[in-house]
Amino acid sequence: MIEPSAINLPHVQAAIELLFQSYEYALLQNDLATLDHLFWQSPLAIRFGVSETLYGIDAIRSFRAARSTDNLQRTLRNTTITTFSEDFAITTTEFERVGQPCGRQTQTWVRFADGWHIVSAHVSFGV
Amino acid sequence: MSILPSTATELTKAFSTGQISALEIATATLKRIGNSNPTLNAFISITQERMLAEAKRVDQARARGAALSPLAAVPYAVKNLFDVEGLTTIAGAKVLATQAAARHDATLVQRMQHAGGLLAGTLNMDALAYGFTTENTYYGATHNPHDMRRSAGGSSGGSAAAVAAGLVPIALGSDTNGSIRVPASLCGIFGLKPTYGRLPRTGTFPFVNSFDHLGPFAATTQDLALAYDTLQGPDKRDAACAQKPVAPTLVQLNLGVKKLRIARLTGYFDQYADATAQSAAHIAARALGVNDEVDLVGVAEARAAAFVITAAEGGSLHLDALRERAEEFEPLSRDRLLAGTLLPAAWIQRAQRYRRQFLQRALALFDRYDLLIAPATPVTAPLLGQAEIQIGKLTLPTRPNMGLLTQPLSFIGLPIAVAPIWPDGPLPIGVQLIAAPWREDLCLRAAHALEEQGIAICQIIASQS
Repeated sequence: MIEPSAINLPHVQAAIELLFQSYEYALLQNDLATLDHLFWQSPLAIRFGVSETLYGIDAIRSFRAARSTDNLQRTLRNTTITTFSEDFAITTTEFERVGQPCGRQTQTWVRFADGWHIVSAHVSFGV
Repeated sequence: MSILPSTATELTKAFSTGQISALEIATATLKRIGNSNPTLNAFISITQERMLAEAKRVDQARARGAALSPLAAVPYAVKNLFDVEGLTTIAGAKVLATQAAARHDATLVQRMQHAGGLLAGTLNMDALAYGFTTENTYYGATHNPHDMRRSAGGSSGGSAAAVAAGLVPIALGSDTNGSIRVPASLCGIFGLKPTYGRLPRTGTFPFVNSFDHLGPFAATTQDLALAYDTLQGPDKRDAACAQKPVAPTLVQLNLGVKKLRIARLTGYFDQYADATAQSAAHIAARALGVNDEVDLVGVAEARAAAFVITAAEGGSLHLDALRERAEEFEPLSRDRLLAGTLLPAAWIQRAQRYRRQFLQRALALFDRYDLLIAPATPVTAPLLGQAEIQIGKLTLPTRPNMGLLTQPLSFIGLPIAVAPIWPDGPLPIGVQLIAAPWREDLCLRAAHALEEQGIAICQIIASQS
């Protein structure tokens, strides 16, 4: 059970904030190694993109390797980081890309023996 | 980004509790710098290899179960007048760019490393630390993260901008006439110029030996005190260092200001402050429960004397190079350095005599008060390239006058913290919290009290994607 006092511990938020931004920069630069490293290396990892439904790290990795790298630049706003105790966190953000409707991204982070990884992510466009 | 970047205090805790490794922190920091620096121009060199190697060492020490250092896994960066082993200490000056690489780290860099810090790189500055705007003809201007069209202040502008942009939680700079306090004010962060002689300058490039100081910048008072405590300690290789033992301030940060006698400085410090700057000092005074006002006599003369000594010592330091290669000097300060080499000895001696008198007068004031408050800069951040600033009805050249309110105080070596205030609009302005020599603890306690009330806060402009 999570006590209210265990929500948003500053040092846990600090860790997620850094990793969240690492993921964002890696995305903009199409740094596949970093993106791959930050995802959970498991068949249970899930990523729902705008048009793709990916089950397992292998499917996620294959998608990234094949996707178009045009127009990756985006600007984030209203980013939130909510952490629960020491091992679980959710990040959400809205993003804007030139010529596209406002996007939304949610990531679920879990801390394992080898550090934090994204276990599930979902990207969509708002209306 | 609407989330705050991590502070040193939180990062060290995240590292020590196994939330994140030093290598992850270093990698994320390098990515952040790589993303932001092309537009900000705060970093002149990024010490990627060293940072990653230091991170691995810190991780290995933790894996071995070694005791954790106070700044374990905390990224930091230094103004490029600090020696960093393997890099040429250019001090923002093209004329020094062909010098040999430094063979050792500056003493304060060694202390940061020993405490577990991870060096991210060296930071932009006005050439030879002579200026208040970090407009550098050869290495470009550093931009203010709050408004990229504006100056970050100087001469430690890269240091302040790097912290204000959330690139590193701690940066080191130097302050001869205001070079920590001016950029802290314009970038809206905390800065500390300790007492003259407190922190050893061994391994840093000098400007005016008589009043060169080193000190830290941070986004919170806790980080500022943590860094300052780490940097303290004697070092016989700096003759001006007072060789005092460490006087910890972090543990006293919460003591408050209720028992302190505090006054707001008037006279000169009102005359050369625009409405926003005056407002900042009033806001801080009100928040600290201060009703007393006091006029320190002879400040204009102190500033003039500081100007004379600065030009003379700075000019004489570079005399040979000025003779041989004047054309390689920064055009924005070359004339002042050349003029400094020609000053009559009588002027300089008179300025030094006045310095002692003015110090005695200031010390007398500290019989009545523990702390004094004044604005840190006459105005908020000017535009890059802006030739003049407006202070009420006065119009003055920008570059030499951003230090009007800082210069007379560093001249006599008083310890001063700067706390960021937001009187109106989106641009911050700092207040100086000034104490008697060796009482940095009081400066930091007052800054912390303002921060606790939400009066002095650092609104980090986290690096945008």
